Amino acid sequence: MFSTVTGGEAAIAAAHELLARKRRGDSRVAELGVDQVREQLSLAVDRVMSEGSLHDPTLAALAIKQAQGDLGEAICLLRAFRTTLERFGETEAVDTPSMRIRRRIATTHKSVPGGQLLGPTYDYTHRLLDFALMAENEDLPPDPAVAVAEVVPATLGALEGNALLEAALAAADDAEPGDITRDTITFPSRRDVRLQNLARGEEGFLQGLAYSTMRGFGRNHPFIADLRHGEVEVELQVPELGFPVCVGEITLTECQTVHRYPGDAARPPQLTRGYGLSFGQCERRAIAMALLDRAMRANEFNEEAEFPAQDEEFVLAHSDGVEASGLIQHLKLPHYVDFQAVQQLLEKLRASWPPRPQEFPDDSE
Amino acid sequence: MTTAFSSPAAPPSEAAQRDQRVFRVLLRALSYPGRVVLLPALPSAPAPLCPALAGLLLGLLDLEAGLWLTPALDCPPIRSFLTYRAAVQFVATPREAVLAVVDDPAGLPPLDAFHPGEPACPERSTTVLLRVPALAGGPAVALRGPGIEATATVAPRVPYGFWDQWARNHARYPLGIDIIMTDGVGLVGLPRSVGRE
Amino acid sequence: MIPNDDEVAGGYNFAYLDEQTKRMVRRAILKAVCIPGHQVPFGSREMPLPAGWGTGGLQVTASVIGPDDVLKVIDQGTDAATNAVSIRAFFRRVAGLATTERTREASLIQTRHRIPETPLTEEQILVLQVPQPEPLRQLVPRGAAARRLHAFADYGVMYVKLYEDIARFGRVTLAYDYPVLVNGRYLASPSPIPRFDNPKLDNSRALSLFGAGRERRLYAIPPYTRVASLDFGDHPFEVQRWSVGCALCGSRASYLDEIGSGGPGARMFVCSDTDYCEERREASAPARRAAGGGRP
Repeated sequence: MFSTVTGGEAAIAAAHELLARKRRGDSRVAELGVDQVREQLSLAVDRVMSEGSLHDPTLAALAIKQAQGDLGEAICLLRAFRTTLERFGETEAVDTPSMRIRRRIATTHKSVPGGQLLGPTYDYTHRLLDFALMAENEDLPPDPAVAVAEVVPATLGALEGNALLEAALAAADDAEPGDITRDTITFPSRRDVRLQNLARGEEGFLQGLAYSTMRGFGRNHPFIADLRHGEVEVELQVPELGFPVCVGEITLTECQTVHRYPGDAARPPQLTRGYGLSFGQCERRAIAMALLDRAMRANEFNEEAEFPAQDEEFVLAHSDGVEASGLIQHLKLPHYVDFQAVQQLLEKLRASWPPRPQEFPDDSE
Repeated sequence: MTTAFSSPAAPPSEAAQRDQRVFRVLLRALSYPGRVVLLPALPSAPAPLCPALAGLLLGLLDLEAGLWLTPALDCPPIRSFLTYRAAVQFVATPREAVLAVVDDPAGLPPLDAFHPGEPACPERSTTVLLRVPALAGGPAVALRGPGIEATATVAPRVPYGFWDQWARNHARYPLGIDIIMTDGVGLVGLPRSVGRE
Repeated sequence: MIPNDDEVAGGYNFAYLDEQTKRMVRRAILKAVCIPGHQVPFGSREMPLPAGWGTGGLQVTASVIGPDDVLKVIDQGTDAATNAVSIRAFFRRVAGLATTERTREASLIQTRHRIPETPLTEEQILVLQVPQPEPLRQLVPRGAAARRLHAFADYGVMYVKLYEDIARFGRVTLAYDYPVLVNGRYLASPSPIPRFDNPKLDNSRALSLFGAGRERRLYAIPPYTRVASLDFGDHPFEVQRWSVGCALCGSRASYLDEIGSGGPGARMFVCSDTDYCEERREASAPARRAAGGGRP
């Protein structure tokens, strides 16, 4: 069969060719392996897994390689792959109190049950470029048995059982959790749906909004009660067996915040909760998520929701990086049909100008 | 971008092709209400479920759509057939149903027993698949509404009183139910937007 | 055109979406047809194209299309636009579908920003890509509030906007995506087509399906359905007009693109619908066509 090639097709083919070359870069430099990305750019991999909503470090690394390190593009690739995967079932809720801890900090007390474990963190590094890394001969002893603490039980450390603390939510079995990949979010939304949305929200967007609450645009007085990172088991209920079986392990970061709350007519002054969870080691996003979770609970606590971070529709409708990046970049598509219409309209408006001095109204999209 | 796409294509499976053809027939029947549209090849099904209703159901059902079966069809062989083929969620009353199946107009519950949707979400209504003895030979009714150029005359064999009920259903627009009628060979679509002239 | 074997992709389901997703989209489409102009929420999936680049249209097309279909894809009226080329290539790759550039040969036409000039038939389905399905969005940004207005068919806010435009500027200042009332009930966005194309939706012989992937809504305008562009008795709805015809085919009945920018006096216009323009030119030059100058 023959096929005619239009100008557009030829241009696209040429662009893909150029892209492949650009991706490869100077061929005298060794090609980057997916395993190298996975092992050595692991924090990028973690972010791509989180926003890509798929826990698969190798595929996330492939996406990063394919996207030349553009994490937004890599996230789009992973999401589009994820959406084609078949569903086998739903797992049990993961048990983060029984996480095998690599890192755990609590800021509300000097010492907490289970202890503080600094783990791998940039927190106390000096942000000085390490020129030694230029030499590429960093040789560490083969994976030392780095401290992996066993179970650190009490989720909120010393606060658990404290009467000041808002009671944890009732067990999840009273309502089926929502599923934002299947159903559209309706407002007012449920907290489980908000948390799902935030868990794959664009990190910069979450961070900026969380930051705004700390600068007074919806202040909610947070403390990090428990920030932990490590491995948890994933269990799947198999109907034939009648009990859950472990199907693997995933790496998570969990952040639980407590927030000072002055109380209202129905509730005494207390500490309220915020919750953040992320694949991999993504502490910034887990903390931002917890702050936003609390901010969007404003209605629940009779707080006036007057700032962007407290406005659930504003936050949830704009948090998805895949959607945001798509629409922003769609401006690169040709718009000359609409532009022609706008130009004709402007010419007509000019012909009868000035009618009365007025500001120009917004056109529609 | 294109490295993942290299091996030759898998054509759609037979079931997937049938579902797609059934859907197109449904789409046409509801887009051009009143016209008889012929069904494509249909799956076999355990009695008393007819192949036409089975084909329509398999084309539309999955875990997310609650199904109500008329008592005459609600039996273990049909339940297990549908569960095996489409992972169905059965519901107990017409009102909870996304899809309802009735194999005999005499057994059709009052139309207001089904879910009419909600004012902001009229799509949350029941779609009724109704087997009729014939799509012609009943009382002739002229229909008017979207999808109909002037009027469309239909005469399915439905019980006396059906069209009065339909008029009440149409009067609730945009709430209301939608009905797909089949005689086993053809389909007629009756969306809520269409009224008796 | 039938795709070559090496164009077609393995590893993905026919037309990319899994069958369960297609059933979900199909149910939403059927509801949309039964409630013309009403935005039906659907579980929009991520697609291998950026959101905002036609993922809604893509999901609608993928759910509707079958091996017997012939697909045409246009953007700005032309099959050669890069995004149209890309979407067409996508379906050739994941569905092994036959495609065409001829409006008359297509059973399914996916489009962005235009409706073909050639009148559509009952055997065709038009799929429009929609960036913003909510016609009230610019006036009522909150989805929940807009849905309440739709529930009560309370469109006063839109009439006020149009009225204010006329009071200030002597005309409505919407050049494209001009809101329509469908079947006398739902206010809907015709998608960002120019006003010029709005009348084509009214009592069309073909079904039109609108997909907004990012906003997770789809809606339909069935054939033979009243589609009224909002206006006032003393300020009737008007479409774009040009003082010249197409520089290539001479048509004075089609939407024109300005080409070149030779400054005032040197403005040249050609049909935005390239297939329509080409067909007209072929019809006026039968000799050339018989000699093999036309398309195979």
